Amino acid sequence: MAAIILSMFAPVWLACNGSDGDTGVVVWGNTEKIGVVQVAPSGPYRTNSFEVGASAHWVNTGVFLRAGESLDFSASGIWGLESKAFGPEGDPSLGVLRGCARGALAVRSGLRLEGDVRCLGEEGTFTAETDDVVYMGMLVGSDFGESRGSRVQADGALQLTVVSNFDTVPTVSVDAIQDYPFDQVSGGWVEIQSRHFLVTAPAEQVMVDLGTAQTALESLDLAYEIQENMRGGAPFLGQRIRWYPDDTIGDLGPVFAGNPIRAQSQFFVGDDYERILRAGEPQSDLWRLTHELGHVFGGMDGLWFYQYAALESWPNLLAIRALDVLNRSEGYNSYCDGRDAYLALPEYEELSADAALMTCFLKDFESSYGDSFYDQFFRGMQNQSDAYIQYDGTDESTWTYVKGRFDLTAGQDTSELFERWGVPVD
Amino acid sequence: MSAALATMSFPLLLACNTDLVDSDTGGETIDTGSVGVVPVPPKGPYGEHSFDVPASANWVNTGVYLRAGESLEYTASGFWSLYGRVFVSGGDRSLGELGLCAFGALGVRSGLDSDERISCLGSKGVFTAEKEGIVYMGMVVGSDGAESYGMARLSADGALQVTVTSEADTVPTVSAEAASAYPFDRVRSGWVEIQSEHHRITLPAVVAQTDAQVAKNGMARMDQAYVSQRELRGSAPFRGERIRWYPFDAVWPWSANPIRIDPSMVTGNEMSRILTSANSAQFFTNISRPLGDSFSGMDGFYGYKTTNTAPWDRIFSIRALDDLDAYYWDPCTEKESYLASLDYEVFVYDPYLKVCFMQEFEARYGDDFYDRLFRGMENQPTLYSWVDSEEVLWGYVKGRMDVTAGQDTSELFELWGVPYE
Repeated sequence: MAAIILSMFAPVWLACNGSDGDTGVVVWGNTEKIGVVQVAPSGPYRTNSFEVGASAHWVNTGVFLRAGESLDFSASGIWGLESKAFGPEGDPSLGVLRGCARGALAVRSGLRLEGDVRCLGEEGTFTAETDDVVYMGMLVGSDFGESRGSRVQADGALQLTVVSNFDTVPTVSVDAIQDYPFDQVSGGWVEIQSRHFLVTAPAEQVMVDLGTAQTALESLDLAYEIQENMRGGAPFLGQRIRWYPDDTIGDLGPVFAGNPIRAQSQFFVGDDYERILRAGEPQSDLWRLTHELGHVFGGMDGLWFYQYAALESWPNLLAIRALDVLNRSEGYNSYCDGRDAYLALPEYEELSADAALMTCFLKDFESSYGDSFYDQFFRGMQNQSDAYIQYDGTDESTWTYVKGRFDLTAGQDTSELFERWGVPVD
Repeated sequence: MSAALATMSFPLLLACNTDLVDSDTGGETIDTGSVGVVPVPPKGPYGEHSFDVPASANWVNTGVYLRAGESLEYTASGFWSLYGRVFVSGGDRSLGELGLCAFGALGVRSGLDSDERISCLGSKGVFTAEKEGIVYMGMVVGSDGAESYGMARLSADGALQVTVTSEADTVPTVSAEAASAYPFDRVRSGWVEIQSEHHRITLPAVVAQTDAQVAKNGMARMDQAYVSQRELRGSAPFRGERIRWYPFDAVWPWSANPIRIDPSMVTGNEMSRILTSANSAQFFTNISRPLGDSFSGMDGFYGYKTTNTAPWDRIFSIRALDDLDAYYWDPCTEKESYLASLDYEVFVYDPYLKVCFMQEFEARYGDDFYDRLFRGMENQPTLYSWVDSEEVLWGYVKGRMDVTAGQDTSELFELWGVPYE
């Protein structure tokens, strides 16, 4: 079944992707490049020239700098943000953020949430304050803002040349990892790249997971394609989504969706059940990964007010679809266990507080109106805007909007299901 | 790639349509695009027909022709949506009103003359024509002017299911492929619509009969122009819906859907009729330029060309004309004299010079310069609020040109004395 579905979708993005030999060098998303710099397993980095697309969610320069180490850079070209065009300096008229003009070329050590960012000019030197992978990108806003579609109105690219004598961070195609000399990676970090993902991981952990990484990323790629098919498009202009280890996300939970999807370290170096590079194993936890992916697809291009009254349940719809198609739903299909008890005495507050039960409510529309109900729903959302929702801070306002979309999708009044579940609408 | 994008963007609309078979056209299956075509015989009685009226459709030909005083009965069911609100055939008055109709109501009109009176329908009733014409139905979204460039229907989706019953005459829609064999002489209403892959032309049956043998090639040429401009723009206006060409006494072809064209383009001599456009001696610019206006302003994204519409239309037009190997006036005949004087007042009022200036960017940065520029325009915000002068407009365009070229393009602006801010 998966093969049949796969043949139906993602022709555009796949057609735009390319790779270069064993390290998979060039990544394309829509018309924008997200450069991946081809480097040796160990330093010195020497000189590399590459593009930094304005829409790219941070480009791995291929340099690993320890505190006090530095790189020299030069940048040229013009890129654009929100109707304005400018060079590496950005445009202060668009706002100043994190000490930089919006639109500026920025550099950072690592991608930890709201980590330090430094803006660069046309040329200069960047000296690291911490040991980490060096990323560059256009500064468009906060990292929180980047969790949705803040780069949709960014385009163009700068041409960068980086010179450094220090270590490297290679990007390795998952298809080539069996033969890659991870033991020679003196920077200690690599990025593994598949059709739709980048995984930032310690090189020595990749060696531990060499036997499962390919299957893991194939499972995630398929989950992506299944959700893309259901959603009718791809987030982040079709760019690869990076899984990035970040223990600073703390109170936000174990995983925070965006690009990158920031996940606590157990997803990279934890036990067998949790590690991303083991996600293809039958006993591993694919649920949380597909759920986070569901957040990304559900809130694609910044359209997400419709989810407000069930923020953790909408992603479940996408996750369940992926797991069902992948035959991995066993263990994740108990979301309706409380259905009968709830429907005997429906209280919206109980439903609102129970993401699983809310998922069951949403799944009831598939039962009543067909398995493709949400596929059709999402097609209809393509020209919708958060501004249409008239959100007034209440669940009722969100559900009123959603019910309208459901009526349209079903081609009939869906009040009965809302009433049966006690979900408030105007 | 454009075709793939279009397919991806509108799967639901296509899925919602039913291919219809018109037995009077030889039984061929017509791909209805996103607008239903009602299969009717050449003459009445119309009988009863059920069809979808999509909210996004720029007026559905019901297949009925009513003379003044004649009527049809209808029923309408289902839901459709505008600006995020969902409702039935009565629409939602809180969204706005057009005459006595609420926005979002099912509207009916006799003909598509500009701002022809629209009556709104409920879920069931009778419509009696006050004037003779083809009966069209569609969602009321605003004036015909507001429908320009497709912006008023951008948020519209869903479809109503409509059943129409009438004893009146018919208006068949005929595939261009089948036109040569169609019995136009039996069309009692006197009107037909002929459609190709991307276009639909409303015209008198007698003209269709005259041009029956050349209609296929003429519309194929129009389709080629559409494809050329779609490749340049990266996607298609009106969500890929066919563009209707409708005869109306307009000052200049008006780029809504329909494109309202001077009646002489339908009923004039052989050098001006739209169906004879395969004649290489015909001045095809009359077709390719209004089409270029639709593509360059599609989805209401036209702020960048508000005071400069002519050169952008022509950039699209020339692309199609080049691909078709069709004649057009050289826009650069005055280039040398202008560059010698740099009299900006001359430049401002000469669209050909502006085209010549814009073509310089292709010469310097590659033949695909505008293809790339428009890819970058896909996610640009509209510019309604701040385009108040040519200088500001050129300033915005220069920014996009800089991004497209990847470098500062000031030199060309200065060489041509084009101010920007």
